[in-house]
Amino acid sequence: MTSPSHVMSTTTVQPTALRVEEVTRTFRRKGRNVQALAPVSLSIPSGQFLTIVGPSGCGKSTLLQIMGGFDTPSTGTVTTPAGPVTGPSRDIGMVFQRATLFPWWTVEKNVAWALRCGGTGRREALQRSRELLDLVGLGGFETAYPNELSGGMQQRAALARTLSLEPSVLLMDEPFGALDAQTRELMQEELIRIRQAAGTTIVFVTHDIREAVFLGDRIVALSGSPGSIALDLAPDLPRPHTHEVMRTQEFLDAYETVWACIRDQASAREPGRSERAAEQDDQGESA
Amino acid sequence: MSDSVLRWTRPLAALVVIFGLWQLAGRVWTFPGYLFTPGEIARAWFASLDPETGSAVLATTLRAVAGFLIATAVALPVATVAALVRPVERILEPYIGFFFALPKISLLPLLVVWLGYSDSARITMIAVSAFFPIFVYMFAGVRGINPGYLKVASNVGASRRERFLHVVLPAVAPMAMAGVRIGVAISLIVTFAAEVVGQSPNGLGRLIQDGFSALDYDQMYAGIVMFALIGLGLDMLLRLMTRRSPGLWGEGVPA
Ligand SMILES: Nc1ncnc2c1ncn2[C@@H]1O[C@H](COP(=O)(O)OP(=O)(O)OP(=O)(O)O)[C@@H](O)[C@H]1O
Ligand SMILES: [Mg+2]
Repeated sequence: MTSPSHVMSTTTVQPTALRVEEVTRTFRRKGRNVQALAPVSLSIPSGQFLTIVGPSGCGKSTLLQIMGGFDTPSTGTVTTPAGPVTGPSRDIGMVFQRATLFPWWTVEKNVAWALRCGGTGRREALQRSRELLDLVGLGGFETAYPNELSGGMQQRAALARTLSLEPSVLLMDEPFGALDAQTRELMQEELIRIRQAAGTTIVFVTHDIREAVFLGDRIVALSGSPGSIALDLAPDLPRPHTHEVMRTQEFLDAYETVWACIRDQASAREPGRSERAAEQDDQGESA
Repeated sequence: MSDSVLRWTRPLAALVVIFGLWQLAGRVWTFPGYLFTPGEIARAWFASLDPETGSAVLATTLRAVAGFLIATAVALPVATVAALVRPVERILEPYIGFFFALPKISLLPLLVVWLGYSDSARITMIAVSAFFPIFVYMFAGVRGINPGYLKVASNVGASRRERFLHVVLPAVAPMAMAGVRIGVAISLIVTFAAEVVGQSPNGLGRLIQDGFSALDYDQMYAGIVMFALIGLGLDMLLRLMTRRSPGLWGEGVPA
């Protein structure tokens, strides 16, 4: 296939796992209305791995919170096959951007509690909790308290807790930001495995364009203030995923497309910025 | 040397040095009669160990604990409700603001007029004083619950009961404990004042006050040491409670 090797993904036969329709969100701050999201519409087919990139403060977390029912849109709707999303449920699991493990329990108790709330028996919950912690590479740390773990380890434990819900949609807000390169790659591959095994629909927010292109069947770039969709890309990358794919021409093309889109926004927002400075950033990012 | 040994030996060594210098100073210069060396204080304290002092300690402890318990039993639930229910907060706010800064001891004469020179008046005094720090800490604790915790609770489908018992309560525990510890200290301070100003027939306040009237310095020093020991004992009791689940109290409570 020749460059640009991407197609719009809206032409799919899969049922829709999550539909975002004309969603806006306006916050009140110091007596003024601040619009964080312009009308955003997204239809996410079941089983898709969608990644969302965009500059800091562009509304990625706001959009994710609304998708999960943790926040109410000012206008617009979010629907699943089960009906409109009016609040959080076990069916849409969220891994939050900030650490949310309960510091009063050990890591395994944190995960087990989520299972217990879903009706799992005590012993089975603990057993399953240990399996999940093993899965995210925290075997041996089951009885540690969250504040005895590093930021990245806490984030992985939070992922284990959310995975325990076995949600049909998994929302992740920059979950691997605090991880070193190797652990991050392992976690990425694990996530892809989980998705393949369980058929989970995943919406994954990240700052890292490389990560977004590697993980995403589809990449949405948000532009800021107010957040709106600037790019919706479904590159046709060789599957199954391994990090080898990053050397293919298709990957580099997709990466360049997303990067160009974000760079354009950045220079549009800061008229004083020279092209040269933007290019240097480009090299910094790909180094 | 292990960490736990060091933790005890260092402050102990500091104590020995300070008391040693103090004792030495008493040898070198002649202190006036009202200024005791550590040795003299210890001697006065040992000499005071009799049933009479014992009953004074008991009376004071009971008053302090009664006032403290009443304050805690009222402050914790009221603060929780005020923090969660806006209208309740609005109603309470002006009263809290007015009474918080008021030196509560100034109410004692009024309480005595109402309730006489009785333990009701004295214990009410203690409870009113200890109420405020506990209320303020608990209120801030409930307000300050990480909203992420509550989001997680609703994500995992926690019931109201699970949410309250497993998330809200442990989340406020460190702040509640901080308020309670200050409440204990305030209770003891006010107990002394309530015993002296409130003309208590017994208790350490009476003992110290009698020592003052009779210029009996031994008795005064012994009473002060007893007061300190009660405070230490009550605080240790609280800290013992926090030992049991380390994760619960986080770093809010120094061990
Ligand atoms: N509770 C709130 N009250 C007021 N403004 C808010 C609130 N939450 C978010 N905003 C505003 O909405 C905008 C988008 O915020 P959001 O957290 O969604 O950004 P983000 O894309 O996730 O950024 P980052 O990559 O840094 O996490 C920001 O301008 C922010 O100031
Ligand atoms: Mg964010």
